[in-house]
Amino acid sequence: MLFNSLDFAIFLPLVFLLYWFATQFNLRFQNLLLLAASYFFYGWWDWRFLSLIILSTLIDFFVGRRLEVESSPSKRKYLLLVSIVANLGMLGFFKYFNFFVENFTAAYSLFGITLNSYSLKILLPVGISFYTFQTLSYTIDVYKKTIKPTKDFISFAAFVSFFPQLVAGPIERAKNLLPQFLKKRSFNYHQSTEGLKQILWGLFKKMVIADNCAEYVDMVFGNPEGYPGSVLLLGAVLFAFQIYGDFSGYSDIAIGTAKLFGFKLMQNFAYPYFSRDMAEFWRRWHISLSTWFRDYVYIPLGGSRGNRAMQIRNIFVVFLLSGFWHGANWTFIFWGGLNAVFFLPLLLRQTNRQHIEVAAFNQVYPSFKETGAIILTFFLTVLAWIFFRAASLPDALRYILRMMDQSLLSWPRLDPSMSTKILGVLILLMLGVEWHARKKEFGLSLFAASKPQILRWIFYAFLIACIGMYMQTGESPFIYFQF
Amino acid sequence: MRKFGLKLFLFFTFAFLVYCGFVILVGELGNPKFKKNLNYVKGQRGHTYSRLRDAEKVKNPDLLIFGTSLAFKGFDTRIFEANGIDAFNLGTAGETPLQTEFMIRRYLKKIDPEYVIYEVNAEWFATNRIESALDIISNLPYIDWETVKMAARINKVRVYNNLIYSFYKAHLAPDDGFVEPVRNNDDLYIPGGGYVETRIIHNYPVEIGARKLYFSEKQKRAFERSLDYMDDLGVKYILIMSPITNHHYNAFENAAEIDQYYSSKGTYMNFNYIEELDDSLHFGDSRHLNQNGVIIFDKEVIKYLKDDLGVFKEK
Repeated sequence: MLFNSLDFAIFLPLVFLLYWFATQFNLRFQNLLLLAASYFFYGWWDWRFLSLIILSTLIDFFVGRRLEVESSPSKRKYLLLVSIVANLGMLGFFKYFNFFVENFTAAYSLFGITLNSYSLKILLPVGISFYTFQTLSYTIDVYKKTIKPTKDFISFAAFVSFFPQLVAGPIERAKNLLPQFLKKRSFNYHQSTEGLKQILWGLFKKMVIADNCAEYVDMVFGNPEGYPGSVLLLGAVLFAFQIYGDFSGYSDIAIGTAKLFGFKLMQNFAYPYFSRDMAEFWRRWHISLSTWFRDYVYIPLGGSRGNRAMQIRNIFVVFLLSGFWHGANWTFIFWGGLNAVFFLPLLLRQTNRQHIEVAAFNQVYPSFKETGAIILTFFLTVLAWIFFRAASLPDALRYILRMMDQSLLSWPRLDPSMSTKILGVLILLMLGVEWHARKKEFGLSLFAASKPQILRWIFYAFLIACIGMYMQTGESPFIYFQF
Repeated sequence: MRKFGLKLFLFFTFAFLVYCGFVILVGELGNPKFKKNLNYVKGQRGHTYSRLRDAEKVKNPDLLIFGTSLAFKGFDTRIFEANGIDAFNLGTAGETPLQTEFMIRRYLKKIDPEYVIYEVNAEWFATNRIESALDIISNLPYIDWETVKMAARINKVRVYNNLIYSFYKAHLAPDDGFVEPVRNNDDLYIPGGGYVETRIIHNYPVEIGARKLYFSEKQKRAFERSLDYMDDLGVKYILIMSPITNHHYNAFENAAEIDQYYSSKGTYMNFNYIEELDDSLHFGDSRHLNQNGVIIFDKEVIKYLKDDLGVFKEK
């Protein structure tokens, strides 16, 4: 079920009403309702996928329970291994099996050995990378004794499958989300209105910004030879806004929806395109995944401790894994590697933590220096996004070479269904709102309750009108569902 | 919670008003690229504007025809008139059964014909396109509850936006003095009859791949609701499949299955087997008859009505 669909527009109010009216007096019933709603939400795509999530839940619940009572370090390690192998095994099979087989065959052919290529038609279960990482974090934390395992299976199953963030994050940690399932939740007016505002902002970013950018992006990336360099550059820039609008929009809807049920999820995007260097960008982009890799890969590898070579290795491992997490394609791996290359100079000069606060922290506008840094960082990310979007590495390289030729200086012209001027204005509107809200949790937090209600309402209604007038009318799934 | 519910209700009411204002404002802007999801098409296609105004004046004809462009470009009311049958043609371009249902509910009681011809165009049963809804809504002289119900059944944002803007244009905006010309490029509208005569051109067949038509469940339900509605009113109806080129028709792999479906729903005749019709001489394109073809087809229809069904025999 897509957030931007009529199905969800019916599903959400129904679950909301049942949750606060029929089950609010009993925490167990509330959790049971959330679990049922989450399975229904997930099964809406393909009920067969439910078996995987249930299996993952069962394994990690029982591994968690065993870890609590087991004191022998070797047995504890063995239990952790069971969880990791089971979860990563499922992820590996469904997401990476064909990739490995194809590359294995190709590698052998380099030595003149021909292997029969064997690939399976495997359906990728929606959001498998997200819930796998979420449930893995639970067993790892229990193993490390950072958290205590739960005895409440319903709460645990609801934590693994919580529908707002099930298919595209934020990838929650058990430490943050699981305790929320275990304590009584009561309706909070302020939290609920904030939730609705965040949903609205997410829908605007997804349906207006991302989906309209996608129309241009698909045209340009589908036929790069047919356009001059300036259009290719525009296409790459618009892809940057597409993927941001799409993914951060999804996160906003997810976090906002969770708020309606009394849950607080972690912030997943903190205005990444206002970053002044790549280190800051990666602290602000897909925060739940970056911190997952930081906590469960980077730090166990030694983090920034050790000699330079170790540090460089750790950075590359994390970025390459992050790229690979996105999909079974060399483009994603290269994208990860390229980001590591961008990140490296900051690490080596030990300037990777110089921008902790948001840009122009105590000012309205950034300084010239900050503006330059923001623009440079943005274009570095745009360059990397080309690899992310392209179908293959050669395609990406051809795109960049074509983009860099003298036609880059021509005036970009495209003819999609919507005026480029309108799209430009809407992107500026999004950036303007987010710039002013950059110290807050999400774009529309800008409009605090202290502002006159009529102004707030006019703006919210205006956003709804923009969605109605400029949304794409065909079905448009979220990009990150494929990961 | 009560405060939340109340505020939400107030906000959505307020947002609806702002939304309507925004749609009207954008609708008044000139550049169509600013109006991505607003396709107001007054008087642009198939003379729907003139036809819907004529429909307000027609009363108790012998025959009322509903359907797609194959209807309003295929059933020449002058030929029926010459054969003693008073007919009015209420087809619109690209009309799916959902839109036909609307036309039937809005006009059938008011016009009160003796017989209805429901032109069944199989290709439009297999799609959920909305062009006809936009065309009809844009050209209605007034918006009524049936129009709102049709929009809700189609449930597409472009239809809702069109409904809002058309309501404004029909009821609130000052009269813009629009008069639809009788001749629009190759098409000549026949006032009072709803028929559109097209300039005689000849079809040059192009390759059409074989395909199966899968009817949309939504359209089938709308079609069946329309028939039930006519049954309830006691209006007699005849289902007619208009001829398209053999070349085009033979590309439908499940034509027999389609015939079977329509036959099961009432009196039905498929006119794709008129031997006299030639794909080039009698068609303007792969679907539409030219006037030479219309004359042959309409004579066959009248013969079918009078001789086979015994309808209007005395006329």
